[in-house]
Amino acid sequence: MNADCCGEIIAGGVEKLIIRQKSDGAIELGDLLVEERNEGKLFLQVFDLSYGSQISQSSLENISGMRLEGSGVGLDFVEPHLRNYVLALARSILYLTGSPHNPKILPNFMGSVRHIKKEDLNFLIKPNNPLYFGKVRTGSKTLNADVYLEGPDVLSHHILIPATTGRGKSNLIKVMLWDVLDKDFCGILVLDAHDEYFGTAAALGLRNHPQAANYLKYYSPRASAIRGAVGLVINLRSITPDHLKGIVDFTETQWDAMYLAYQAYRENWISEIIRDTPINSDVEGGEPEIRIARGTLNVLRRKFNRLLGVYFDHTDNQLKCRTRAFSDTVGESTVTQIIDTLEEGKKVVIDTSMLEDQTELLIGSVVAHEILDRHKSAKEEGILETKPVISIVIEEAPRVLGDEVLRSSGSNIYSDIAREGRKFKIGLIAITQLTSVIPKTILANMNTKIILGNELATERSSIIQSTSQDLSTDDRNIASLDKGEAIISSNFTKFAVPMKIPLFEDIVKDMKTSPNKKIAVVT
Amino acid sequence: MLSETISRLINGLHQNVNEYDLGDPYFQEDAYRIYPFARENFYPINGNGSSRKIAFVDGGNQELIGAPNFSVQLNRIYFNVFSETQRINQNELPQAIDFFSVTLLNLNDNNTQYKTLLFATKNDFSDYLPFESHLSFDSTDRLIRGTTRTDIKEVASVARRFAEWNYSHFIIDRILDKDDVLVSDGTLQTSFPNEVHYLDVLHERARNKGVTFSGLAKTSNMITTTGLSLLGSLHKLVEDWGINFEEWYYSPLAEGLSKDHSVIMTIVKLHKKADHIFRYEISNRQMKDLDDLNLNEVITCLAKNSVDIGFPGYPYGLIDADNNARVRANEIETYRVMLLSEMSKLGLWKKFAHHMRSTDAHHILNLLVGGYGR
Amino acid sequence: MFKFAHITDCHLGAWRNPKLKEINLKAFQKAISICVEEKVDFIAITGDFFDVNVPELDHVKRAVDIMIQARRHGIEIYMIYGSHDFTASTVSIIDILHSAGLFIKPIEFELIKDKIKLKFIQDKKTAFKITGLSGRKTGLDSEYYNLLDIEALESEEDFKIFLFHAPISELTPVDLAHGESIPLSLLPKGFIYYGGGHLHRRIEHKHDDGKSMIVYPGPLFGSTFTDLEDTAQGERRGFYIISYDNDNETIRANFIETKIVDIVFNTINVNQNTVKQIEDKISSMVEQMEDLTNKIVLIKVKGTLASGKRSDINFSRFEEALSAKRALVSFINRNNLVSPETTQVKVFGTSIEEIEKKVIKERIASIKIDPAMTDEKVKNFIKSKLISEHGEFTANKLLLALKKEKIENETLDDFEKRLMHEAKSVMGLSDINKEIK
Repeated sequence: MNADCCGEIIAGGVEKLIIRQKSDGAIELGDLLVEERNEGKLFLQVFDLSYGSQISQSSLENISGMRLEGSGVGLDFVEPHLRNYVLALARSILYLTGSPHNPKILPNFMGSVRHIKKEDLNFLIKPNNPLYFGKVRTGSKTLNADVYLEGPDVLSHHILIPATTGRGKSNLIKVMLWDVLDKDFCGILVLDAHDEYFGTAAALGLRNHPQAANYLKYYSPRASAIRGAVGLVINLRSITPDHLKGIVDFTETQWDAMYLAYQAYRENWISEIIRDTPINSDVEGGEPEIRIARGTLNVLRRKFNRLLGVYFDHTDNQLKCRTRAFSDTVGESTVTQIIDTLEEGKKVVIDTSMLEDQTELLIGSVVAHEILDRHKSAKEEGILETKPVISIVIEEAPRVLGDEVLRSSGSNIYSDIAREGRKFKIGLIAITQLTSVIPKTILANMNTKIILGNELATERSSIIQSTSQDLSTDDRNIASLDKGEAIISSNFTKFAVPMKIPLFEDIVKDMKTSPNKKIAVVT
Repeated sequence: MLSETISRLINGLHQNVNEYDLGDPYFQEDAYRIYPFARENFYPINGNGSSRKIAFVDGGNQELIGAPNFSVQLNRIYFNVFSETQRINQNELPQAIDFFSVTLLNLNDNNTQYKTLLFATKNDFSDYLPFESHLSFDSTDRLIRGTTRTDIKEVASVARRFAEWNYSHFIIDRILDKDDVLVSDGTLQTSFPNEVHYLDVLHERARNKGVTFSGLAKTSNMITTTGLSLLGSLHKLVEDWGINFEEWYYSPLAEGLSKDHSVIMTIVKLHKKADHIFRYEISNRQMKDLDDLNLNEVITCLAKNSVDIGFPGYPYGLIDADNNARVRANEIETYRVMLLSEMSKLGLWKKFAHHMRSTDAHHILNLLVGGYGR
Repeated sequence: MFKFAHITDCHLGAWRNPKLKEINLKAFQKAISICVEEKVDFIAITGDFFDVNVPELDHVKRAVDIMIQARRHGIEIYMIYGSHDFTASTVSIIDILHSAGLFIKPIEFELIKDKIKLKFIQDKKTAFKITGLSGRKTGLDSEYYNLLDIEALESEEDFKIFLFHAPISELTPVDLAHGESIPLSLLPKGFIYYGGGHLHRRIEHKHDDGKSMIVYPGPLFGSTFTDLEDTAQGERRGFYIISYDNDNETIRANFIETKIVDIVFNTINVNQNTVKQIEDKISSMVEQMEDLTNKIVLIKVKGTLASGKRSDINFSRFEEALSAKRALVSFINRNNLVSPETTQVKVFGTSIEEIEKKVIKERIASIKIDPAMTDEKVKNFIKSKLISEHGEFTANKLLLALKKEKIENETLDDFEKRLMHEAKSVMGLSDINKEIK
């Protein structure tokens, strides 16, 4: 028996192989095992563990009773490892004969298996434009084998990150962004609802990347206090009624009013509504008619106040914004600059932590519309291939991708991107606690799922049903995922790869700082 | 109504089974010297048995196909070796040997004769099998228990029994050393003609090598002279006489005087937590060579192997041997199918099917109600 | 009460057309004259004073004469450099003017532990402390701002003015959005006035809750047709006079227009028109135009030709017609008129250099080695010089080399030989000959 052997396959079939664990085999849930064959290697993954015993259940209960009640003193199992053991349920996930492919054979009956080693994964080649996720995990152990996928493909085909709170999704995003920060094959926009990605003096973040100055832009309403940050201020002229679709609920009358206002005043439509300018008909030479009821205008003004924080200050006749995120005088270039930055393959983090949900989504919508328009034009002109993939990170994805939202408010830019963004090299990285509320049609388009731990059975079921690989036996695996552990299921992986995501802080500390640059200052 | 019936039943049992006189050990035949119950025959198990190896042997068999006139069986003999609770691995002998046996009935002039043919599943095993010639006998031979014509399935177990004894020779020769112990599952009493020869040679071989040849019986139908269960009576004596040994043996109980059963019988309680006491018999030739100290040591080393929490007081080696010697129902079907398909291939299916159908109705019923095998 | 003028982006020497060149200079003259009239305490010029680092000398002389006028009236001039009027690799004319003491450069600094510690220059009249950063070529601004010793700047007491030549992200107009900019957060805090340059747009922004101002005056006239088009559409050109009332600690910015001529601008959309149709449209427009005396007339023609080429259209006759209507200068912009076969590469950039780089990058990206090629030496040469980032580098260097002007008194023959030598050197052509041999 090979010294590496940790178990033997004793029964089962394609869906479920039963492995008896060697007494010191230490097989864990989620472990990757290997059966060496003459022609290659068969990879198995453990999805369940149970006890096996040569002793009947009632005898075991009796024995336990004796031990618990103290009447078994001096008695114990003779040859305990032989008679009581662990059975691991596993399934074949990959067959490696030169190149990897889906297994269509059973492992050898009574074949021995061993734990996977780093060398077994030498077929995982780092792609040309790598997107880093973490390290291969087997059970709770981490192998020194990195998980990279082809960035442009994965990003343009969307990523879904289903996870409940506290499972490490923020850490995952930070780890991904850190590695890809200075790689210009992709631009990534992050709507940072908790201001956790950029970093502060007290907390490490993307700002600590050696290339942050060249590749990272940070927009925040509090930019004045953070050197290098750009003020998050969007000029009202950047917003059109279309940007509000699917983000804010308006009645039909209100939609009509907004389009009329837009027709009359073009990019100044919001300013004019807030200034209470009557929206008149466009009658040349005739008396202007008021086409929108005062009541409707008042409601719109109130909604904009709530949504944008914008109001008209009669004391100095100025249009003001409570959150300072919107203005009618500055911020004209914000959206354009954000997109230019993304199109250079750089990363943009927008701090939306001080903004309402809808405001955050609106800002994202404005930018996303612009990106989509640009990429559509680029495709028409035949130059889309020269542009990097642009991906938008959005948290609490059901706000815009949820079934209920889509039914009640109609589609929005995010759902449009989810459905057709791939054609235009635009993708979403959608984070959600509730996969079950996202329509299957959208889930089907999200071709990479990074599954973090989830204690809700219904959610796990929903996730499993939508993955690229068959994870029907992985319910327990998913339920047992610890913080920082994940399974990545993707059209671009040969099998659902169990992963350990390194701690972001550790990566930052390990990164060798670049030698101090010499400065040539010329005046 | 039912509860009243049960109550009357128990009362009737109680009235008819009385313990006021336990009696003495009772053996029906004259072939035994009986020792009346005596307090001084109880001994504590407190010897030093650490250095002895114990080999445990057991066998199993199951019918594959059968008819009133033939039975094809799969047989298995298994052994293990322990030193206290540590298994000792060895390469000298196969740990288990499997073989097929075909027991045939012939009727000549009203005389039923049985003949058994042996087929090892592997060539290597052939050397360990008994001689086929020893497995032929007449059904009226008084050594065979039962009625005038014995059920062939019972007779078919002859192959397994003989194989056990035969294999034990090899175990003594190649595995065990002086002062070691061989324990067979069950008594050392013969059931078949010619069996006594195997036992005889075994007794002698063991004695010459200094190996204690013994048997431990799980079950006992022994009774006392007052009709009570012998083991039950001993339990009561332990209480009545205030025997406070946690582990003990009672010796001698009886001595077998005939060649069919030449042993000294003892009763053993091998662990303080044991609910069961067992009959343990040692070849009487060796018993004579064993003084009290050595006997205690032999039984002590058995006791030291009897500490499994699953069955305190029963040797773990026999638990293991029983488990591994069994021929299980799910093994049978594969071989059965092979046999039947070979019959079919050779055009013999029709010939044998008629005979087999006379006994396999039960099998069909089993299949109907979800049973499997026999 | 103190007063100072803030002028920027004069781009003196810009324009091939001598009339426009002259108007530009006149606008500068006008500005300085107003400064003298208003008796400003000093003038701050925030970059791109000249359009190139070595402009025509007669223009330089006239600019100097104008500046001396201010100096003679005791008005100090503080000037920082921009991205046009200066280059690090050679001496620029602006350096010579500085060496001659025509203006003060308030951009002295020390390098202390990799931090740039700017020094203040204190204006003698007002005691204002002035410092700043000159403009840089694309992409380098942020780097320098990040290296500033902010603490030293912010802790400096008294009234401070910061001069700079860079777009600020939050304030940049949308049509000038493309290109590098610096965020507001990189400007040091606590200055009463931030004088900006580079953006050809007038921007006033109350900063720090109204305690200070950030101002881009925009150019006095303009240096591109886009500037002129903006002017025609309402953008006012001029400079600022900033007043500071030290009793009330209030600052006020007053815009002074320096209009020299009127500009007329029209757009004609000729999408899917034939050559004849386009000519008819332009002709009709020109005919209808009235009162063009001494005005600059701009016509922009845009669209895709239904057939034919741009060169099939006789634009010069329209320009003659406009000239006949006494227009001072007329231009018909046909850059947005494309023929059906033209493949366009759209890039965005704020400077010609940036656009050139981006166009080269786009084009080079599509160049691949023919798989049928077998000569390894040639293949290696192509890989090392002509494709991907190597190709971009070679193309940019070649463009720079071929842009060089003929030096005064240099013969044509020598000029040609010099250019060829430089081009070959960029291409490494002497190497390939040796390698192939």
